[in-house]
Amino acid sequence: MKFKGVGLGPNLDNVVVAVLTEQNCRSVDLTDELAGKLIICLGRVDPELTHKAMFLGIAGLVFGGIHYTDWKKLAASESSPTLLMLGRFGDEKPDQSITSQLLAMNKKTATLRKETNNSYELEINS
Amino acid sequence: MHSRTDISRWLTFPLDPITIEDWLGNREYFGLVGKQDELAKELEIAYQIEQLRSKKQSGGKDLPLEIALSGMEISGSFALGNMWIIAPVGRVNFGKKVAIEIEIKPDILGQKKLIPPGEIVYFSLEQDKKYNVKITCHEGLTIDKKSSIALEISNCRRLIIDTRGRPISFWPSSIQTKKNKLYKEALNEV
Repeated sequence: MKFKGVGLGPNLDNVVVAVLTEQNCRSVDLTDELAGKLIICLGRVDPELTHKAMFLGIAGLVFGGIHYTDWKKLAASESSPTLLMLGRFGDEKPDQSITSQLLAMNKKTATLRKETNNSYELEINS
Repeated sequence: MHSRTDISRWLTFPLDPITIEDWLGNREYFGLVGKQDELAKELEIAYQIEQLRSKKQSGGKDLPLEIALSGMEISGSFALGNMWIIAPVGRVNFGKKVAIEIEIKPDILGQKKLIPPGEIVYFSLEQDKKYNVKITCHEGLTIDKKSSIALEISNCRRLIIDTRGRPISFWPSSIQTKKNKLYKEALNEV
């Protein structure tokens, strides 16, 4: 199962997926147990959340949307986790069809690769 | 990418900076996608103007007048379709009362008309008539390097006068939005 979106950061190979929420993700939702995993939170994220993800050693964050102002801040940081936005700037969520598929991917493994420029592809092993 | 202030100075309504930045981000990363409502259409016009001004895109003959006039800063006195455009060169001072004086014969104005700086105004003409137009520039403005010109205009339905100067001078942002609405009416109501 493959998903395309706009991303940042290094490729990830065979990381464990942890589905967190389809709502906007809050930094308190991130805990030590999620270290090294690819987190799916299909709402909107902000720099505070990604900063905590970096602090905890989370491998990647898949999310619905982000404000472009915040995206610019993340793009300037090389140490944030790999990010994949499946919606658009300013969106709360991606398409419902994507949401339902991704929410069923808890504990599977995934590969996240840069395709061209800012375009990334997420492949989840079924 | 263009700044949100570059874009907002062409809009006819106030829009919050986050919405402008999100739209710009989507335009740059995804192109023209999503719902093309009135808001998106107006943002796209502003984007096209800035693309031309920053030379990221070159102009063409088929551009809408609103985009060509502001994006390419076309200046001088020239016919465009069934319109005649007058756009003087020089920096305008918004504190002054008169940028140009215009007289049209046969008389459609009642008397000599004074146009202040920073405006786009139009005069409707009858296409099958000939008009003699005399224009005198003030405050150092020039048209084709002259401070006054006399023209004979025919086959035109509209005479458009753009006194924003070249390079274009912008009003303070609170006034600019209201002016843009008037500019749009002048350029699009045919």
